[in-house]
Amino acid sequence: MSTEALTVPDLTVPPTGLSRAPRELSLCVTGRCNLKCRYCFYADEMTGRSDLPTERWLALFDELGGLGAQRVTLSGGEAFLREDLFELIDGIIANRMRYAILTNGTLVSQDTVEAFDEGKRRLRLNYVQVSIDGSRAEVHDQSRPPKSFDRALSGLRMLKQAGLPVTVRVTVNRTNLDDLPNIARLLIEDVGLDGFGTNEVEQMGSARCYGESVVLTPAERLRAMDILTELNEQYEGRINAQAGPLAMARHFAKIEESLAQGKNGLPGRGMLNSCGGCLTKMAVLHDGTMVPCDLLPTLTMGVIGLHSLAEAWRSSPAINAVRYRRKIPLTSLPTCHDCTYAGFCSGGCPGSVMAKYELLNARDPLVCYRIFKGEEPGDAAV
Amino acid sequence: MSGKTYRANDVVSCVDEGEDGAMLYNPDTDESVLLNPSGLTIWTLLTSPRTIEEIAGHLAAANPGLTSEQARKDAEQFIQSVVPDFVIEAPNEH
Ligand code: SF4
Repeated sequence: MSTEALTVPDLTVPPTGLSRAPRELSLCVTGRCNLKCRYCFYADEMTGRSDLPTERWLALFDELGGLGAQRVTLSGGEAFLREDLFELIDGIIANRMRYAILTNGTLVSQDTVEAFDEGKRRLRLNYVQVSIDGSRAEVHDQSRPPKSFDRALSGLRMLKQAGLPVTVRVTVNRTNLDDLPNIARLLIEDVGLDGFGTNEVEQMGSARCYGESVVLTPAERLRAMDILTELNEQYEGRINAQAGPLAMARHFAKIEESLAQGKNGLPGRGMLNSCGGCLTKMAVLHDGTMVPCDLLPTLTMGVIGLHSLAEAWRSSPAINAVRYRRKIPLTSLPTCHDCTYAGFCSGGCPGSVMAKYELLNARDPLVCYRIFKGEEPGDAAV
Repeated sequence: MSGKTYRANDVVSCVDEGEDGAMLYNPDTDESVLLNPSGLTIWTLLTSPRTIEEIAGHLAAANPGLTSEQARKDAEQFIQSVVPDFVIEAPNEH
């Protein structure tokens, strides 16, 4: 066990070399949504918090511009529900930043698409990401309200036809597992996307209520890994994943390859550092609460307009606790102390861990190779 | 380069990171570049249009050990590395 893990860190002190301000921010600009999906990670935050008015967001953009932030991602809720969305975008542009939008796609109209032609809105747009979870309504709409699919696909096509940078996120779940080959065909061959991203429904937000009907079982996850790996080969690497079955399949294959080569670890592994630990990014919720990540909404760093973002970025114990995870060896955790794979592991997403255990410094069993191999029972204690 | 005038591109943001230098970012091209402290000094000069000769003059004045020939080379090298994303030609503004 490392002695470093036993020292009590001063979480008001930022790590050495941390920039003066975040380069990127994830901004949940609204808690409202026109859909009620069965696996919305943000569902718990959508009640009891109200949307910031336009001028508070614009004041934040001025603050971010002064700090040299570079990119923001606008999400929600459904970002296109904000009538002032393009006013907000113009505030981002005026403050020398770029932006991306995450959307369910259903509210995208010809007027929306044309609105991107004004000023530098198109030039500064990194991408619009639309959620598509089925190749047809019967699949996509199983976890969303009726007609969601037709409207989302129509929105996606409009964005694509207008030549805007558009991408898709497919959230793999029990209802679309068998449809994945059709989804890939629709998005790549029919709509003509360069590729698309995938992740997986996790037991958080509204999926807590609908878990059984949407969250993959271990056997289904294994199938999803195989299907996506095959599809990715078929489509020559055009399917991306930073989390979920495809990311896991790649990670586990890398472990097996390294083990076969006699290695006992991989560079940058062995610590709880899966996501890089908020060294360049943070998030703001729709009521102005600053948090390390939108998947960690209970770790409050302050409130925009009331507290200095630059100060919170460097000195908030909430975000420094996430950063400190990278100093914690997996072998110091009770779940992992005797694991022979620890040198290959990074412990999984802190947001998933927090949602499962209300703890930050634990591993996520979902990405545990030992559990995957059946060498440890699935839901071991933290 | 001789005779041309240069100035900072208005769209570019500059974040001074202290000992680590400064980060320039052009949101139109999504390009960024890290400047060392002497690069940051030149960048600050370029808030007004400057010729290579003027930049070299400032460098030589700030670094007494620097020959005027080396100062000119440094100024040219800097301008070459930041035009056109971060610094633009401003021929008629001087
Ligand atoms: S027990 Fe699982 S999570 Fe822990 S180090 Fe081993 S593989 Fe990683």
